Amino acid sequence: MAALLLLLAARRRRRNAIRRDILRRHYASRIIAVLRDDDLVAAERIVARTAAHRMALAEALHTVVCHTYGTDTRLLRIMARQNRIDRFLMRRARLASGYRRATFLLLLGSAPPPAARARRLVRYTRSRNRFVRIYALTAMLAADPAAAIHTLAAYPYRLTPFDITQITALLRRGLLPIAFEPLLADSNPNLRSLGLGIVRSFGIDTARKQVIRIAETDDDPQVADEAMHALAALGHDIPTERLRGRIASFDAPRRKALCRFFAAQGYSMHAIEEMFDERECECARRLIDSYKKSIVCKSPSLP
Amino acid sequence: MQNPLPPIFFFRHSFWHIFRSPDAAKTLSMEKTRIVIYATRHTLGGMISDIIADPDSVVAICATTEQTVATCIDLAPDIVIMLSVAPFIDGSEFIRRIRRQGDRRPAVYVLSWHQAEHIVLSLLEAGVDQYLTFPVSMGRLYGKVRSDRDNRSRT
Amino acid sequence: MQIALLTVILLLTAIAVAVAIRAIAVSRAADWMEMVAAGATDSCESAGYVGCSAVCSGVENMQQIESLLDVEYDRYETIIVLDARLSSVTFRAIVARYDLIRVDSGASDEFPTARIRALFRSRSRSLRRLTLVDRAAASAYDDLDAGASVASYDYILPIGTDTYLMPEAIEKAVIAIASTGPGNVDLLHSVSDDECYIFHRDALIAQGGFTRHVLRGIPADRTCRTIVPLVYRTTNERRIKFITRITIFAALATLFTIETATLGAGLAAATAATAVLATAAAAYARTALGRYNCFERSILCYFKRMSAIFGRRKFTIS
Repeated sequence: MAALLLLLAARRRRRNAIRRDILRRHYASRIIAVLRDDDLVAAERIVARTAAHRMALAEALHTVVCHTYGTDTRLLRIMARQNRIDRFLMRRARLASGYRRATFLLLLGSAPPPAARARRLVRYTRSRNRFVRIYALTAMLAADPAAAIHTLAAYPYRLTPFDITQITALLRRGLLPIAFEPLLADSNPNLRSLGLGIVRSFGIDTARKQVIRIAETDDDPQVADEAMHALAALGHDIPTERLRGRIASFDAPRRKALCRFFAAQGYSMHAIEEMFDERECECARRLIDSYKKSIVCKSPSLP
Repeated sequence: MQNPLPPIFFFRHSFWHIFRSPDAAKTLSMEKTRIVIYATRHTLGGMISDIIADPDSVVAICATTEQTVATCIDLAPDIVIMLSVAPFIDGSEFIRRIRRQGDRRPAVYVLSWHQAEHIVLSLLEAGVDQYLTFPVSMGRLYGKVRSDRDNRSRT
Repeated sequence: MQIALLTVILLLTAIAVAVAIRAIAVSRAADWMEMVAAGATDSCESAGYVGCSAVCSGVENMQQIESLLDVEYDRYETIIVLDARLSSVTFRAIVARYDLIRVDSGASDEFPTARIRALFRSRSRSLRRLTLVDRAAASAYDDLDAGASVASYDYILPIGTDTYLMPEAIEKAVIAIASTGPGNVDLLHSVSDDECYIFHRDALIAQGGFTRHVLRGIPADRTCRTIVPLVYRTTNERRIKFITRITIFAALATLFTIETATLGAGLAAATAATAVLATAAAAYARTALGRYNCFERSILCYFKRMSAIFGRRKFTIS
């Protein structure tokens, strides 16, 4: 009996995957047609009656929202609200567990509920599953962008690099209008990490002074390390004499990883030797000697 | 779930068998713009196709690079849209292969999430004509394709 | 007789429980893959800027090299270690195909057994993710040390002959690593049909490089296990199919005969049911996770997992 159930489950999974793909494609096509023609009537005609169709519509909306910007959000909201996509996803998230719940919460970020209902997602931010936590957080941020700072400050866990990239993805889509300056100056290490992630992701040169200050003086070594990485990613001159002392306070693995990162970003041996010990520089020296010369001197674009 | 499906070949606004004949292809070349899209994710490829398609164009979506090259050789497209950078950085000389046949040189667009400078420069050095990052503006993408098409019809 | 009956019943129960646990783990892994496919992008940003270097020992198949380069993820590179004198034809073919030139290389004190003769990188900017290392042929472990010594990224994925990456394997691996937090993972272990390990560079250096016993020195709390398949192997598929089928058939036939003769037909039926359950679970795993290798490898995987419980793991490279 168990074997039969497994075989049936395998068959069902395969058939469902194909069917969902077809449905998703169908709804994506209709959504794009609505957005292209700015057709309110066609938007109101998109009706998903069954759970499978609602799921496909939610996934199609997510694909469109993730990969496009500047679309008429009013039309997307009409399609989501009239099919009660947010209620559907929240109900499914409540009944599911583990990564399935995380998937529903992820999709909820693209069809967010009203701010009042989104407060029910707070309990998921305390989940043991890290993906459930971060996608609940992104859904809450998408639902109530005005309270984003407060929501982030109330998040009870430390944001990982993966979490930060998921939040910056919301900024890329224009769903989260927050400025990086107040984040960099905040006392909450999560907010500072997010601010540094935004600076790194968007290459914001104007934040250089603040990033240097954080790298030099921040109490949290993880935040200071992220500031170093953000500074290296920006690619400008580094005040090596100011940072040397701070780098010396890092543990050995962190120092070595940072040294390699600076080398990979294209900094010269001179800059690296001013910040790191001779022994740590060896790896960077080999990388630079083997890499930069061949790229710079022998590029085919040069005569 | 956006699993990469087995290679599936779609045609929009046309029938596959018509393009088996080179004469038919030449006839159609005067009438419609031919666009080939390479996408490992079915829904995304379809979405891009929906954004750029109009009555004056024929769009084919391919799921593998080999299929894309074969389609480009058969169809002699005006525009090739790649939703992946891997074919340009794996040494397979993708652009040389799709531009091998005939005197039609398709414009190659790449749409990707990559922001790194070395990736963008690699693509431009490889011969890519336009690089756009996700998230992409629908109007801008359609405008670029249309503008390219209008320039080609003038020349 | 009672003891034998009890032993067989306990064994069958243990197998059934193990199969059920694995099926649940497979289901969770499939859900994880769906979630990652829905949410992830192909940029290094989506994986928290984690980088991975694939170090290849004994790879001489050009098709395999192409497939290793066919990765969308940004912070990734492929390092091929070969002996230019023994594999001169392949070496020259790779250099010609990817327009490689010899570049400076120095000795590494982190990996003392590296001993590189020469290092080659591509002239072309688009092929900056490919590095070719020439060293005298020795053990595969020394080859991997040589590759790791020139790696640019923090995580090292050892690749052997006839090992190919599953679609989006690197993206999945780096997301699994990045989601645990910075510097928390020394080893990512894919316990799929074809096992694969991704080591943190510093963990390797602390162990003195690659050896058969490198896994022993990595604590369990710094190991991230996943059942998601990251690689597949194509070696000796026909031989594996033939041998596995013959072995299973012979074993089951012997078992049924003995059980029917000594312990009763009921127990033989229970054994058959357990065998069917294990096969069904392997079929479910293949559908849920998408396997590229033969079905018989999935069956063998169960025996490997059981033997792993009793013996200490050794790191081997094909």
